[in-house]
Amino acid sequence: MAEALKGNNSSLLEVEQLSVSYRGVQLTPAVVNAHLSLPPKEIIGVVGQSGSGKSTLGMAIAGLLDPSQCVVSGVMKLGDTRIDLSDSTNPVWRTMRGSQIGYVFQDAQAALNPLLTIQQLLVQPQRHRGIDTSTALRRVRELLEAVEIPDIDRRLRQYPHELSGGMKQRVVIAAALLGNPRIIIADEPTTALDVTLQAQIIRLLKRLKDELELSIIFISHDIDLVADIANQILVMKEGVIIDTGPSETVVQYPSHPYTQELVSSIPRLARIGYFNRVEHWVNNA
Amino acid sequence: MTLRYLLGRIFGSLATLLVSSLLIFSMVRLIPGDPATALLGRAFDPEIADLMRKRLGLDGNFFVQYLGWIRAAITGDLGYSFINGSKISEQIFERFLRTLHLMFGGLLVGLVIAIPLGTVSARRRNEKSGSLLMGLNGLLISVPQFITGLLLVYVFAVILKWLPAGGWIDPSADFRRWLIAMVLPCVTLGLALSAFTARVIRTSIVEESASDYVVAARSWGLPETKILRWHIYRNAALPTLTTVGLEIGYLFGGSIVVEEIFGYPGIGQLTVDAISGRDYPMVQAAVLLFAVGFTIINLLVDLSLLFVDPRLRK
Amino acid sequence: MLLIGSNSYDDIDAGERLIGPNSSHLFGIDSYGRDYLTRVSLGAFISIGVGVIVAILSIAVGAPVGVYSAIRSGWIDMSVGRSLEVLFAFPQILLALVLITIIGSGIQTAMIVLVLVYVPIVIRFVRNVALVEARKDYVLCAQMYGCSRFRQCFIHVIPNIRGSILVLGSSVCAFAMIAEATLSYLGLGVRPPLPSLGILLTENQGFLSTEPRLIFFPAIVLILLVITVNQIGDALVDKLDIKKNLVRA
Repeated sequence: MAEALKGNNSSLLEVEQLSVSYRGVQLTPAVVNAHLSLPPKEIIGVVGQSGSGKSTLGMAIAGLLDPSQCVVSGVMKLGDTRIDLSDSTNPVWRTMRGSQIGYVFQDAQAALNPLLTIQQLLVQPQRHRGIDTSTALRRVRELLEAVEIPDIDRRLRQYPHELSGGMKQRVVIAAALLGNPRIIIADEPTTALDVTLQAQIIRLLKRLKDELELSIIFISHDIDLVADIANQILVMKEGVIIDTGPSETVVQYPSHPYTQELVSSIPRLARIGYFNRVEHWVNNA
Repeated sequence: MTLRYLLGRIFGSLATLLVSSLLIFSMVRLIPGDPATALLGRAFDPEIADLMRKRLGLDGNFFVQYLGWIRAAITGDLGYSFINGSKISEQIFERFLRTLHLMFGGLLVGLVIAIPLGTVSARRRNEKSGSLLMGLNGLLISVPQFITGLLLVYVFAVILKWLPAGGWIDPSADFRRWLIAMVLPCVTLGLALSAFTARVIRTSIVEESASDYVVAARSWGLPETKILRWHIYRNAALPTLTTVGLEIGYLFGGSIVVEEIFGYPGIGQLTVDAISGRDYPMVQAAVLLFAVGFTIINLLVDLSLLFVDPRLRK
Repeated sequence: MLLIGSNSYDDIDAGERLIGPNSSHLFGIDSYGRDYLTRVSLGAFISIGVGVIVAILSIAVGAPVGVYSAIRSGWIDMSVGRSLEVLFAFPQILLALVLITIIGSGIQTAMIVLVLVYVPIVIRFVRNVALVEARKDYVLCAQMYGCSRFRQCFIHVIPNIRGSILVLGSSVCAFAMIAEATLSYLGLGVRPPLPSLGILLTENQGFLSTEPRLIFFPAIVLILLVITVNQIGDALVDKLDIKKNLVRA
């Protein structure tokens, strides 16, 4: 699968007419007719407020929605493979999850089973792909190093509740990378962290993207953050993608009134790229 | 950290036992009137009455008597029965052991029924068979325990004549017949327990299935079967274990009733007879033993939880 | 006394014994020559009576204590909490047995004993629910404008948790019915010749093989009573949309 993707230089992932509705007394639409095109080695930011459907969009692409609770429709093209999103029983999903698309969760504490050690948590998914324990363990160490976790031996034996927030988030990122995916969907990976940690994680993600040649769909409610990391921005409101474009354009010259609202919340200096310029001057002084 | 928790729990249990024993000992003093007079009735003899009061710890200072009683109890001397004058310790420990057999058997039966019942009804929760199982479960919970006992006796002992209606046989003499005689009492105890436990198991599984770490495991490529085993069942075992711990008290109480139904010579039967017969030393000894057993078992359950849940070890 | 059936519950018709159901005696006649339908229905009445009275009394005593403790917080609440913990270190039945040893048996003492056993359970439950409620804004408002504790309890908090209390009441009622039957079965509750359902089961246990109806009728009646009370409780839960975290009898 990976071979087929490498050669394709137009886009890694294309999503067409994705719609998700929640079952209930009535069908409540969460995502309406979303289109997305993810080129290789690029970051697409999906911005919107809570309830705009951005997380649902991410989960739908990753195939993580519960079919008994949602109705999904649409088509996804992963490299050469065409997947009908309304069919949740397609065996393609099983091979796809973890090895093509990785998912980084917002709530790292909740995403890690409190009864298993980090080692158990990270070795397991590989064992079920037929990898033997020693190779799996080696890879886990590689990844934990890549996400900048110190004192790996000690951490492996620990349980999730013994790790700090930032470290838990790093573990979740490492877990998403276990199967060597090309695409990562990061759902508000920094929302639960304080500002300094946020900056560290963002830097980490940027580095991983370059080193591992990843494409990332970065979901957040913070347009400032997204503008910093993403090449392209999609703005979502009430399930609809109302604006899209290169991140600088969207932020500096927002066309849609809602985007203008979002952008106006960014402190003015950041908006005109002031801090980037400062950094540039400082580094080249 | 863990050591402190451990010591704390043990100390707590000892404190509870202390309070309980105080209450049990003072029980006799709370009886309105003079127990000695009431017991002897027409055969009242002041000398015997004095002896009785002494045995009951009613003469003299409360605490002196209490400490004397406790000291004797620790060495295994629980006094003499009022009914037949025999040493209490001779009968009581053996009976206690038999009751423990019964309770253990009941627990086993309960779990053997509850685990499949709960798991299957959780797995089939969206299908009709799932609701059917839960309906059955609800019915089972509503039926009082001694009625299920009588029902079982009627079906299996009277009609089918497969199993005896009660009694007890020394296992060292005839193991097979002992086992057969244990079936109905243990099933009676276990059935009511299983209904409640099955419901807890089902709820836990349903809740764990919806948790984030299950979705996370799925996103990392774990197949559903492995997710069930490693994540869902493992995590659902925690509240199940807690519930079983709570049910120990029920087992203690239920065994009293079951022993009456089946004429099982355990400590429960002894206690009931002692209460009806106003054999106060016996009642005190039996209740004390109950309290000790209950506290120890609860402590063990709490400690085992420590093993299972790493979050408690902090 | 409620009299269903042809005769009073201990009217002995010496000529007839152990006769199966017939037109004048719907449940037949027991081994002493008494009309069984009367006895069973009286037993049912006793069960319902005990259940309801125990439920009402234990809630009347326990609920105010629980609510007051939750509102007061501080050391009063702490000591209530601690004592409850100690109390619950004992299995209920043991407590009941000890109390019966002291007080003796009989229907009134059985009710007193059951109330004493269930009051802590009611206190614990109500306290838990009230603690959540007491943190809510409207209670804090009332405290701020100087509302007396008494008013806080009865006019503010209790009406808002009355749903939970009602459901608790039905549970206690069902529990109490079973407990009364159990105690009577053990010979420690209602005294003969009063025909509690438990006593009916004890005295006729020997006839299980020859006249099973003597066991079946009281058994089925008891089961139906418990199911009905539980159903009422369930219906209340659904109507009032309360979380089902109660143990059913």
